[in-house]
Amino acid sequence: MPATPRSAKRRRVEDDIANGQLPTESNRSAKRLITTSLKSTSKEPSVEFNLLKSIVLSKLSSRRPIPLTNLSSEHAKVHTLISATVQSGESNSMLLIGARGSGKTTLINAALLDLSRSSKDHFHTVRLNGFVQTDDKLALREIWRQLGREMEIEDDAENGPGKSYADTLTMLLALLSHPDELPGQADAPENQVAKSVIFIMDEFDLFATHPRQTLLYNLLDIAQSRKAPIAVLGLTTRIDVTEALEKRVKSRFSHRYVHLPLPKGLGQFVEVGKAAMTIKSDELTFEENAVLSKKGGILEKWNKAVGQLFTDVAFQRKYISSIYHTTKSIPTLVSDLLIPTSSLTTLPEVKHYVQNIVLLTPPDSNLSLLPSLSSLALSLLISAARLTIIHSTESLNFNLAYGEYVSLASKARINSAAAGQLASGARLWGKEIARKEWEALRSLGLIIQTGGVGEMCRVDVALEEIPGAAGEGVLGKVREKWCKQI
Amino acid sequence: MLPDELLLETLVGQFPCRESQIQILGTFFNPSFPTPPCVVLHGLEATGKSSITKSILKSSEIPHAIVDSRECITGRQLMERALASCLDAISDIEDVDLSAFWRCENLSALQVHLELLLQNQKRFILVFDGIDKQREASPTLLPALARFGEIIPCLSIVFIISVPSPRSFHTAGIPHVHFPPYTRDECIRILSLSPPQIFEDGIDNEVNPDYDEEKAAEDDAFVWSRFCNIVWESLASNAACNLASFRAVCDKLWRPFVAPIVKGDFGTRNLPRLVVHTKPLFQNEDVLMNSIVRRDPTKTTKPIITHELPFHSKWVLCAAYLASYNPPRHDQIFFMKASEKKRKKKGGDGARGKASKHRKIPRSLLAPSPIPLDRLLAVLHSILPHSLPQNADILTQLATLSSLRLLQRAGVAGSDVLDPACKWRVNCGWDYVVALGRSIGLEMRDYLASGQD
Repeated sequence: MPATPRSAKRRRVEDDIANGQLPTESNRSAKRLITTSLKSTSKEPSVEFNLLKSIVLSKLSSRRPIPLTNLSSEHAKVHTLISATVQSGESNSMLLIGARGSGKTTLINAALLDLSRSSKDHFHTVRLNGFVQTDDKLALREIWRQLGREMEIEDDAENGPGKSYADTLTMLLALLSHPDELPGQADAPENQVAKSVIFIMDEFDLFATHPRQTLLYNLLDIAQSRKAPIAVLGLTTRIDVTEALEKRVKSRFSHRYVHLPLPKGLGQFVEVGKAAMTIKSDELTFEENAVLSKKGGILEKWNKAVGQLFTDVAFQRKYISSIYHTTKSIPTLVSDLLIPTSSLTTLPEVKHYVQNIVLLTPPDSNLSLLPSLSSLALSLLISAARLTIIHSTESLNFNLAYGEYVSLASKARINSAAAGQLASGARLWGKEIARKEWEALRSLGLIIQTGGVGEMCRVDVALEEIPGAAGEGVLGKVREKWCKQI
Repeated sequence: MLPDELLLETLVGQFPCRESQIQILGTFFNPSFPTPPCVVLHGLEATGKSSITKSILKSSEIPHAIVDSRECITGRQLMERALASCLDAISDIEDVDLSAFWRCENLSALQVHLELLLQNQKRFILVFDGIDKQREASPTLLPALARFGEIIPCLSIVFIISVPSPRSFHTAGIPHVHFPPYTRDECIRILSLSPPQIFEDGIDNEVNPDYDEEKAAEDDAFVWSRFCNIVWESLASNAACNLASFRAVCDKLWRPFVAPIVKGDFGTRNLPRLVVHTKPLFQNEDVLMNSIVRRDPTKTTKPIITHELPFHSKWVLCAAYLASYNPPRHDQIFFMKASEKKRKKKGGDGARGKASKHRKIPRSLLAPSPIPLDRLLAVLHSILPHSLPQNADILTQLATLSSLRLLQRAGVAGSDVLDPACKWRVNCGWDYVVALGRSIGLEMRDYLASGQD
């Protein structure tokens, strides 16, 4: 950016501040917060440091691959299979099964990268995703498009994807068939070598839900017969995916599986995290290497600091143990590290990561919504949850819940009046307002409509969960009593 | 680095009490560092998600497009609109051949188009606002869009949703930024930033020469902040605890609250007495309801709506209500004309019955049960004090009531109306029927198994 607009922008910003907001307490504290951060950045980090940081950040935000750890045997299996397809023209099929974030895509990408280094011009890849290509027609069109782009087939009206599904399928089959099988092409040159195609089908289980599994049948049929060399790699999280395959499809599948395990121990889990944060020299591009080598040793310093970070007990407790003991999900760990890493101005130390951390994980359940409910909504929710226990039934409607609320609230009013207190918080609200709050509860999913006559609903929270989830002092004494006594 | 931080600072000034969210978004949308492929911003309504995202993106000068799901009525329209807004954003930067992008009916097409469109871009951010409320969305919409950021390297997808569900994206490790609802103190602090005027028509300097603009502004702030406190305690914390509805309630009540001050009955600093004087304002719950029908504020009781129906239609409707809400096994008690004395006795017994351990679900609170036509007519005959005249065409009246939606046909729509198995259900409330019954001299309470209170 040229210098003038930037300074103009800064001036505009300063003007905004000058004639803008009232300097309230919040503003002032925010300003202090930011000025302190400004002070800490006043020593501008070097170019090399910024480069290192942005490399690590792009690894953490999955813009760059994280090197594989503990998956060498799985990597070897996949690599052998696709290199056999590319180099010796053997067709094959394989399923990679593993949990979300266990590294299926990373593994395949690594294997393909290896292969493209040695024999780049000898294969095409086609990537499909079950979430995006939701039926066989779309998938076929997408295959045609990707192959066409790579093979530079003319995308004209005659053989473009504008034609019908059947036409595209025949053309695709013709494209992938052995020249001998095609009529009228018997005089093809003898020693012609076909290029291999590698199909990567993400969310393989969704392709099995397509009607008649036409695409899978055809692909696996080609893979198993003497036609163009293709490899079909299916990626899925479901271990029972072959059960969903039709018999004719299943018999054409080679039944090769690779299971990607989650890290087997805490040590392995830490290794993965470390691999995401450290930078090996072979990950760098030529230009990056050139920049970093100018200031020798910064790479080693960074890696050493990261190593120390991961051995620290406080760091492990904050970031690693809870994830390891609940989900073992590597992407969660990686995205948790993102924010503290991006605010680094010096080499990573424990204090940057342990102080005022913001974890970017989604809430575990909708119980976390309870503290933000209005008190009338809470009362209705408690009444509804009470009714579930009292009548030992799942379904109830607004009228029932409101009736229970009215009886509870009027009892509370009488009690507090008898005790001579002011009836605080025990105001009895009208039906219309209550109906509005009930609708709000329903839109939050705390109350789920079950259908049927009379707007029957189900409460998604149990009565005993409410006081704990709402937190201290939100419910008040009266409502806490409602939760305890029936 | 410096201009970014200054920008963030102005944003913090614009959106008070949202420092940490602004900082996190500022790091995500920092032009000098990579953006994650997918970010989820979640929070309840009126927590500043959309407006903060909009201003941060605008100030960061990264090319971006925002698609609002509320403006799209089908999934396909969402796709088309997403592509169109991306085209708009890109065509500001570089020349785009618009003829290549002509139809975008599904996710696959959207992916292809975006890949083509963004191939020369360094980074692009596509925001889907309120995508969890998208109508007619295909089940794979969210997981597929979440993967677009991984498939297309320069693209980042931002979802703005209200309540995240753990399994809606089918991916692990998407960063979620929570926008918590404003607390009581924050709400009041934000509202206090912009106090409205007490004296709308300007200050009358002749009456009070010392009272100038400055003092008026001071008084405005003083009265307004205390007023907000009172509104929160009395109304908003109970039924309008998000910022937008709290502000709406305050705005509605402000003029009537300060009217005595404007009239000159109370001074600006005499708040306790003013509060006592205007107490009915804070006890009226009508302000919490958003209605397009203007209520007369002087009337406190709501009128019960009645319709002037034909004489026999009223009887039919009452009979239908009784038949819907009385269990058929009690028909003998309530509707046998012959043994009225016996009925009283039996009815008394039946109402008490055995003391059961479980509380029974009061039938009156449940939905009306469907009733066959014969039973409806039988109940009608039994409650009529006179015999039905020949010329009262009950079936026509039934049809009229059903077209008025006071009676509804239960069961499968489109089944034969003349079918004796066709069932009916009453579609009006207790208050309505009681008023109706009184107009024809029928006390509904006498005939109901579980007496209504």
